[in-house]
Amino acid sequence: MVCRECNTENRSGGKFCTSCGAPLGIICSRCGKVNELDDRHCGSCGLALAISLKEESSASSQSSTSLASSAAIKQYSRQEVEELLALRKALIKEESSAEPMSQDDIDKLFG
Amino acid sequence: MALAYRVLVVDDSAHIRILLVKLLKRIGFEFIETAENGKIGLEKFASFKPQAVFLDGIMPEMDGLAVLRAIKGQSSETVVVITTSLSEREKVLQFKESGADFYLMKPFEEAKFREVSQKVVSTLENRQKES
Repeated sequence: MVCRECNTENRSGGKFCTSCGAPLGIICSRCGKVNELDDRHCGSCGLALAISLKEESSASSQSSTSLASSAAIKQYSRQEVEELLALRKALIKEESSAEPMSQDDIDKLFG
Repeated sequence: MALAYRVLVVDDSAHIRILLVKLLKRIGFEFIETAENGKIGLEKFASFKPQAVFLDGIMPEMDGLAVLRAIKGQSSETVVVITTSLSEREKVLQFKESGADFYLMKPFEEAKFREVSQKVVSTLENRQKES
């Protein structure tokens, strides 16, 4: 993904530019996927990104009580909750596989 | 102490090749060949028949993982040390699962290189005793 701020080519999947640190897209507040800046919905979970941004700004300025009455909060079915939990688990696994290892950890692995 | 084992260094950086040869000679290795990419590395592996290979992870032509798999496919006894800046867990595990014996992260200190090289020598000595 090319950074719009400094034009550096970044590896796909990154959330921030490795050169200047600018965000590479809109990060979905529900599932964490990095979407293109002009995407209207998250390509992974379908959340409207305008709502995603609204949730982000709301979270920083409103209390949890006022958030509960926000239109962005919806009631999830059991199946939807399970799907979201599975998605979260997959994302955590993906992040952990990209996590850098230290030489000490590598030495333990190789013996 | 002079070491009679044949060692092949495969790295696309001339500076790294020179450095590794220098360090290997300090440790006592006398028979060292080098290759500047994976393809040439495999050709030299076939002709030079090294007992140990110091292999870069990222290279043109063939990357380190492909070279490692080819080497281990031909000779599982060859001790392969991956020398790379790749540190992502997934990548490290791929090298491990493909048969890499040791893994040295760049940049490294000479002391760490010596430690890994001593492990290579011990492994080669043990394999010699077993055969």
